[in-house]
Amino acid sequence: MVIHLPYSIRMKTLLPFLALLPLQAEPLFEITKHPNPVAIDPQIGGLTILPDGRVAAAFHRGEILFYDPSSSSWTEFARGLHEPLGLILDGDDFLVMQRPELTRISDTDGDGLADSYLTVSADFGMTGNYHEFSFGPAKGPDGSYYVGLNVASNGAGIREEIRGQWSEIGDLNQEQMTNPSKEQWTKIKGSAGRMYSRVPYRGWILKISPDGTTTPFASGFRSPDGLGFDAGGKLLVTDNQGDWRGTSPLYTVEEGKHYGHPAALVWRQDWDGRDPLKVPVEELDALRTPASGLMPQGELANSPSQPLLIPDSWGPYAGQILIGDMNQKQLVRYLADEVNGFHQGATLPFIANHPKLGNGNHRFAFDQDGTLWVGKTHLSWAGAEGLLSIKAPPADIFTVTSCKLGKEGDHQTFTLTFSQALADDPESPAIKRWRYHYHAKYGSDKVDTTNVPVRGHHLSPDGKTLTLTLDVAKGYLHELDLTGLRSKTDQEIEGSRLYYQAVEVPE
Amino acid sequence: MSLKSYPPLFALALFCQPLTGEDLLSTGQEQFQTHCSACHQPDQMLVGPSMIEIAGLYREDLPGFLKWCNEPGKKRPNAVEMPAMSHVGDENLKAVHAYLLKATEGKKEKAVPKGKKYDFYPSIATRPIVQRFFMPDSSPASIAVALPGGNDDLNFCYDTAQCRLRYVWKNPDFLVGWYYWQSNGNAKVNLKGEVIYREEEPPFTVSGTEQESEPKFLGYTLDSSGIPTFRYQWNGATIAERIVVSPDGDSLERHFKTESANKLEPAPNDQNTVQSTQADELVIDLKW
Repeated sequence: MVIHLPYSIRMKTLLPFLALLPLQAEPLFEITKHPNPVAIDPQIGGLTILPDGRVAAAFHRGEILFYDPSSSSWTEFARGLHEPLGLILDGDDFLVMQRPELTRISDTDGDGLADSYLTVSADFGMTGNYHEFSFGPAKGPDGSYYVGLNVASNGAGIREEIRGQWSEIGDLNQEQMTNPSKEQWTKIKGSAGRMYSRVPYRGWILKISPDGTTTPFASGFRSPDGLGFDAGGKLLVTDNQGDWRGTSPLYTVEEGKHYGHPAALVWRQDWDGRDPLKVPVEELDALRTPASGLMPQGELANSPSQPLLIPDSWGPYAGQILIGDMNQKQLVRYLADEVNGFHQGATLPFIANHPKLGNGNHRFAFDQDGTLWVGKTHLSWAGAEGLLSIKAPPADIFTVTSCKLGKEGDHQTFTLTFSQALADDPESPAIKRWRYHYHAKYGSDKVDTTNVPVRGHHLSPDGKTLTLTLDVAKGYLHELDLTGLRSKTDQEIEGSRLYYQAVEVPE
Repeated sequence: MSLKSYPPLFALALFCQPLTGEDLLSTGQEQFQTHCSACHQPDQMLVGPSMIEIAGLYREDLPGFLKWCNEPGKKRPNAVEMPAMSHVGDENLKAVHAYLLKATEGKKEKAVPKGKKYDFYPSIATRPIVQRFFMPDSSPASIAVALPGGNDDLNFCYDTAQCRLRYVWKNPDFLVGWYYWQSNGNAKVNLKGEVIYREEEPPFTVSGTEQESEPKFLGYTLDSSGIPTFRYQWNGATIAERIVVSPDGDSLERHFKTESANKLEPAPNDQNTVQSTQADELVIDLKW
């Protein structure tokens, strides 16, 4: 560890005093900040790794640059894109999701600069509203590309020219919503819906085959900033707290299902033409597939970004899902479970309290050495800029590696497994539960917060499995406070809170 | 642990001197390279003002310089916001200040046309430029193109939703992009130039087909000099379209090639005249 001393100090007096300085505890994760490219707006919307280990990043003003870690230098590859918010490599080509389309970008003449920007799919609408971002792509095991479309926000109206079919469903007509004056819009914006979907497939996940065939895959999203596949090939999508989102969710997304934000319902083939905002909430509630995981606002995450499968090189974390967040100076980790056939699980803070992480953690990619690269952004919201890398942690790190919900007689169990044996006689973690409202309001307070007594616990002989017996309430988020759990090797636990979303309870 | 009860530390404090002379400047240079040079160039504005400009602003005002570095405000609405430099430390920032004054001694700022200074951004600085934006008077899926040739002041807006040229405007500096870029996209760019031609429909029709279909954009390629060719399908034809400034600089040459069996029938008017029609290529001169 290098200490930069700002004063010139005569060395012969220094050494004895250095011995007196208290030892700084080394953070568990080694984080390096990399230099920004010169004169480029360094907000990163997409990140991927090239076969030669260089890092490719897509930037807010439309560039794709390659970063060479061995020389800490950037070179330009492409430019001209429209708010790219995702980048993957597909053979020698890049696939980028930008506001208006999914684009295949190639360097066909081999001069190191992109010369071909082919439209894979532009089969969705745009009103010109600023909040209509386009996210992805994530490549599925079926070879298709999955992208997410943000709904529009009533922070603004729409532009004079739109792309796609206009939906007449809504209290305001197209003329009222087009380029309103500030004064006029303030009067009527409440009737637009906090977030709205007036052109096709805003608020949807689209499935796009390599030949461009575009299928609306699932509806009911607000700001699905992150798409990724888990080890089992299931599509995971995050969304952001807001209207109809009491707190930020993680969804396991399946074809044809609806995930709760009602604006997007109007584009379902079977929709009967009602204004979703006028449909009773109970009916909307019954239509939606619940979230697999929840991230408590203000504590865990406020604005989650990309979910990404963690590779084997990360030891105890292998096979789990990391999720970024724009607001909190930590990442999130998701441990999957399955109960009664439903995919649900636990979220935890990840790489928390690290002085070098910062926030704005938007896009992620693991390189061939297992180093995690992190691209940051902010636009007009909380966040940061630039590029970080995080080395794979030491293999003996002490953390929870799974949390499964089970049954014991008339009660339930949480079975926690750990990467290291727990110190003898651990105390049961304190457990609380609460839930969130599903309503049009922006966000939700915690509802029905209750302490949950642990009826008993059992530690396995090898010390790595702790089974807690308790009563789990269906539909509630259960917070387990793991602070104070120490390993036999006297390590502090990494990830000291666990939030299990009990959508289903074992029958 | 007070200083009085810890004589060794007290002695340490006595021995600690602020940097001077060569140490100060070399530390300043090193710190500048690491933390500042990505955005601040010696003699012209890039992402942030030049070293010369900063030295001029803060020559007599070290406290102001430190305050700005630790807590940058927002003076220039179009500029990328400066991240706080408080992690650098005040002693290092003082060294940077000294280095700035020394390094810019006797130097002059590069002359930049008035009004262009704060609009500089590399990807829209040198023709040809092909950049997607939210454009005025076009669909939300539009591409702005700046062409080289003539007086290097001709630009056009291509609408990928309608697959056609929408308008041509004159501005040697292309347009002002930061209105759109500075935030979350809740603005269009500002052309800051006169629109000299607007088009309501393409200057041709597709013959040899019964098919009528909405135009479908297929993408664009760039030739070796960076000029785009747009490809799209329309009414059964696949068309490649390229627009360049004519050799004499006073008109635009519009090249339309079909990649299918259909023919393109020119629909000339006052501004659009047919220059040539070969088997698969129609060339139209656009004079405004």
